[in-house]
Amino acid sequence: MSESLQDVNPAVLQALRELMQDDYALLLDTFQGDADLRLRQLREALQADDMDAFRQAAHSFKGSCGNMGAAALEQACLEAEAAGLAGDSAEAAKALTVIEQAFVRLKPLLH
Amino acid sequence: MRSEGALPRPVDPEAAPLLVLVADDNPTDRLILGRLVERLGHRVCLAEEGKQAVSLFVERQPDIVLLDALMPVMDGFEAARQIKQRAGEDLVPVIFLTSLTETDALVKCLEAGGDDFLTKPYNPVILQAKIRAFRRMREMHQTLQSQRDVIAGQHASLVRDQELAKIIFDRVAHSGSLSDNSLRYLQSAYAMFNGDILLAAHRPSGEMHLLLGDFTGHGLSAAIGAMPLAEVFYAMTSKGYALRDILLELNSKLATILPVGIFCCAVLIEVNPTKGLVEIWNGGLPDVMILGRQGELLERVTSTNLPLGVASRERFSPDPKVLVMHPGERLLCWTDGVIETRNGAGQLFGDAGVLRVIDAHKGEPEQVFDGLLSALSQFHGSPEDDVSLLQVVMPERDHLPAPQPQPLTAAMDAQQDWRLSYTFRAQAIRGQNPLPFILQKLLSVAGLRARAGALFTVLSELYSNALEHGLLRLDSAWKQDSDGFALYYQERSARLQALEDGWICLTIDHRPDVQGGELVLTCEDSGAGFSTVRSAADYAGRGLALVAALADELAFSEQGSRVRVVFRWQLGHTPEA
Amino acid sequence: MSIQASMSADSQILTINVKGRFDFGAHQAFRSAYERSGLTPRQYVVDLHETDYIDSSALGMLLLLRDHAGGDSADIRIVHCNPDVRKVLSISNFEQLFSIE
Repeated sequence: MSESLQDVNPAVLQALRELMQDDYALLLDTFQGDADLRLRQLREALQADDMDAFRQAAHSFKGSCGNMGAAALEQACLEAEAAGLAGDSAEAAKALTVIEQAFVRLKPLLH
Repeated sequence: MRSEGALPRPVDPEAAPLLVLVADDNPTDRLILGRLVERLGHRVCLAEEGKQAVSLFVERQPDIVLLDALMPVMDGFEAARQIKQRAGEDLVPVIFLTSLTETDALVKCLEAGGDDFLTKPYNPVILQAKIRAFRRMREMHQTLQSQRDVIAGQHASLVRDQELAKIIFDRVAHSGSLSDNSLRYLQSAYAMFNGDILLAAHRPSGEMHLLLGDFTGHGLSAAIGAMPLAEVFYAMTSKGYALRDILLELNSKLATILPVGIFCCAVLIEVNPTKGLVEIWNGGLPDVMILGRQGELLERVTSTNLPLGVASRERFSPDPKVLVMHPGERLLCWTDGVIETRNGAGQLFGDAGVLRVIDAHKGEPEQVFDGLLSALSQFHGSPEDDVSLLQVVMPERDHLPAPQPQPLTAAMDAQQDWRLSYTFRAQAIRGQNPLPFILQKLLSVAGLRARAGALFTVLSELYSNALEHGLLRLDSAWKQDSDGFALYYQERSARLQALEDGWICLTIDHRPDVQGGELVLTCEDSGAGFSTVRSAADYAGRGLALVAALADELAFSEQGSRVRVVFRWQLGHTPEA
Repeated sequence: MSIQASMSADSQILTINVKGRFDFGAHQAFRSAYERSGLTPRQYVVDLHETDYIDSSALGMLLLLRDHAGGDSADIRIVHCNPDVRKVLSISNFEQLFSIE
């Protein structure tokens, strides 16, 4: 299902560019930095088998992905959040992999 | 952010910018939302978690708060609670930013005091709609609050005004001679607000004037008319005017100043213990009742006049009813609160209620007043607060209070060496009472002031003797019984109005001497005098016995149509004290 | 309390009906009953057959009507009073100002 979603919605990016004007680059940097932080939190939580921390990190990441128009990544975060909520670490590990792949695909598209 | 929500017009043209607090731990979301809000023309302050949001709220007092639900340090739920608490009665809309979808979480937002939700990703159009809606709600709330504050402020100042007005009213309405031994009265603390007024004052000659009044309406408008009423009543009574003159003046004063529709139902009474007479004028109040020494109902004086302030001068009838009242007999009157008291079933206390109480206290009339009060409160179920009640007991003749001696002040009376003479002809006699004017002149002699009461009594007796017997040819023999009295005063009034000829001449001659002075009053009229045959009876009937007792000399000439009275006074000596 | 005013067909007589308590609460309605613009009746009839109570502020309102209708030259009839209402009117001697039937 996640495959059918766009990695990024160009219309959203265009709207953001218009909104942020000169600060658009700052927004991209901020998102990048936050994404790095969330990915680290997700990995650590999975390692520590702390499903609650995993869910929280996925939830927060999901919000900003939605706002950035990163549809595939947002969907992946939603699934990770659900896995965290269910306390299912196997599903969580799968979801994290999907998140990492989606983020790799997304990075070059953010400009 | 959603792409389908095209960016709204940069500045909301509707109103001044708001200050919006945005609290979100996610830096990307915070950045986007902050910029969206700015784009709508508002100012933004940003917080990264709940605790910071609360302190920014206190510091910056934003108009609207946008709160992420899940944040580190302090979550949005707790922050919302604290913000709502600190906002007090101000309306500060709290909108939760959330991608939460579970009902439980949304319920938690509402329970924390949240007013609405904004879901991620943000839709600029929805954000604008929400900010607008809450701005309107907030403005409405502020309008309500400030209107409420204005109303509360006005109410407080009204209450203050009323308290002040009440102090003035009470001083006016409870001054004068209300503490006189012969009186008992009840006036509720709310008298001002139901327009009830009770006044008492003595004429210089010793008669007491009473006024029980009830203005239409309630509140300040009902109270305001009491001021001129009291002023005229006190001033004219102390100058010695008769009830009739006071009534004419009160009616015309009130008719002039009160708006149509506001008037004063009143009873005016003159109590004359020396002669054992009362004059009663009732305009619009319930029957005045006179009880005998055994508490039996002797007399009811029904309202036969329009209330004060209604009728024009021509239509107004100022003639009181004159009745004999013996010592120990009592007069009762009240405002309509007494007969209009209703019980729980809506029945009126009425006339019948009053008569029952009077009947129940036969043989113990001194209990009637209290009996009436307790019957009213039993009937009504609680003490009445819309009732004024007055009782006058006719005093014994030898228990009359001595006139107040006034200290001798001036030794300037040596200059008071003069003689004046006034002749009043028919037209003047019909229209006015010249005595207060004459008395004022007499009281310019300081040495006579101590005897003002006696002087005024003597002047009144001489004048009414000349008028009633000399000019109007009334027979004092009529005054033997109550019916005769009524007839006498009816005739007096009728004949006075028809008076076409005749005159009364008052001459006052004052000569100072070394010790004090001598005053000679002469009253002469155009009448035929009294016959020698009936002179003894007439002499008594004409109240001249009183004159003889008060003056130092009394002499008649011209068959009694000329009376001469002498007063002597000495410096530093007050004969009546 | 309710107040109804009706004009006779020839516009000569305005009849005002007062139902229930005739007291301060009726003030506005009573006033508008005769103050409506364009009314110039020759005679006013205040019908109190459905009035069960009248107080002194109602007396004031009647005086206002009298004033409005020309004061001493006003032609105002107060009709169908019950005994209680009649008593209040006569204590204040309103027979001297109104024709009370």
